[in-house]
Amino acid sequence: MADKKAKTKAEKEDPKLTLINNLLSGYVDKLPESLITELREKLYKLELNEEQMRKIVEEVNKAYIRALVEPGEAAGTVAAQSVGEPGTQMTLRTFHYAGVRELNVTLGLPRLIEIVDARRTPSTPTMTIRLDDEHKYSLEKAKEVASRIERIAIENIAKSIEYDMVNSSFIIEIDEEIAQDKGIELEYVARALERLKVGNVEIEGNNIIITPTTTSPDKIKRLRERILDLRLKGIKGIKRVLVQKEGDEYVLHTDGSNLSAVLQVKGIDPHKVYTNNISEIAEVLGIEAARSAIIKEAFQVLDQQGLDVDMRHVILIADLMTCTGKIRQIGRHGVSGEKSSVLARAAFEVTVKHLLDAASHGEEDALEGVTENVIVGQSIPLGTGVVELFMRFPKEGA
Amino acid sequence: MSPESESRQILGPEVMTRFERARVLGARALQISMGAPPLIETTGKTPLEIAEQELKMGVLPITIRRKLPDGRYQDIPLKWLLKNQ
Repeated sequence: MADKKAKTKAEKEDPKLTLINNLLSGYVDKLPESLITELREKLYKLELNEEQMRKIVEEVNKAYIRALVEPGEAAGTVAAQSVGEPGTQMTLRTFHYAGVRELNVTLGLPRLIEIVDARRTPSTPTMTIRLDDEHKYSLEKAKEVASRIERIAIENIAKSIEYDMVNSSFIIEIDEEIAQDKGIELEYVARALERLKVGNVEIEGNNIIITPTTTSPDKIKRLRERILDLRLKGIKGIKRVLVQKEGDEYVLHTDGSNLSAVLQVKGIDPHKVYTNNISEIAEVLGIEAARSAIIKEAFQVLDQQGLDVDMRHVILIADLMTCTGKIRQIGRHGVSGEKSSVLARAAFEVTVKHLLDAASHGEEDALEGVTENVIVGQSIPLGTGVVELFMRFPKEGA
Repeated sequence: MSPESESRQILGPEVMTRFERARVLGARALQISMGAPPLIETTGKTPLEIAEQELKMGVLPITIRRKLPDGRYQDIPLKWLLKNQ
């Protein structure tokens, strides 16, 4: 903008922009950044004089102040009810899976519970992976990336696995067609099996024969499982990858999630990788990213159900869950269980235990919260209850 | 230091919140109902109506203490808030 000032062409539009910027400069610490940006754009488009523009900005500021939460408002209770009431409607409509393009994704109430309970792994972890410029326009190249991600174990390419009691060895019959499709050679499988170090490995036509060193039936049984589950290719935890065309680019959807490993795969766009596993996001990208993920996931669940819940309620819940720097669940092992007040905790669950513990440790209760004050029978610090009044008559003359 | 000479930087909203308004009206109406003399000539019939008029005229000598969760607070005379209404 500075270098444009010298040019005659830019000079014509510049005064308007500087005028708007001047107008807005007084509101920088009063209004949120996004509002200021929007105002700047909208004002620039409109044909208005300075007075009209100032009036608009003033009105916006007033409307913004009116929209703020007043001190004393029960924002938490309102948020809880605003999410809870639609939740009761969800129960009737969904308690099962909805098939979203061949992949099963938990939706509705079960998913919402999963989110607020802060489960370590969701029941249906999935990832959405976008590709870099080189790979996203070609199906071939997208599939190439997909094959790097999809986890392939012996069980995926084996037709059968049998234990030969006479020679005491496993015979694994490899399905050539599938193996070729996944780009896996027999030798590669054999080498991988050798690395297991369980016994001699041989290739015989389409079969791979392993002769384990032990013959104890117990160990053989366990070994069978280990062989079947041996990872040949791809990323741990990712069971399936679907290549999907979205618009003019190819996108990968996965069954299973492993964010840290997928981020290192060549050919993906690391800025556009998403997983629905929130604790994984917290681990890899940090708590702020997890907060955004909680908001996004919870809001998405409500939105899909056609429930119109204001985003700010969800944001408050997400903030409460993440404000300590770790993801806390809403409930016994999280937000409710970590309250500082004994009485509030006792009111929530296992009353006697909390009271006994508190008594034996000589805990004090400052009676700062709502629950405590309800218990002792005082007015609660909420709404009109937070307002403290003093009456002072002027000493001389009114 | 008198409240008037303090800086006008108000803690919280510059106008009365609806909770403060309700609380002030309630407190004053109770006083009136128990026999306190009205501070203005009034046409109000009920204590609440009288209190409402008093508040509107800005004659109530009431101060609101706005507290932050960390214990800090500011005493705000009703007049300051009415001015911005």
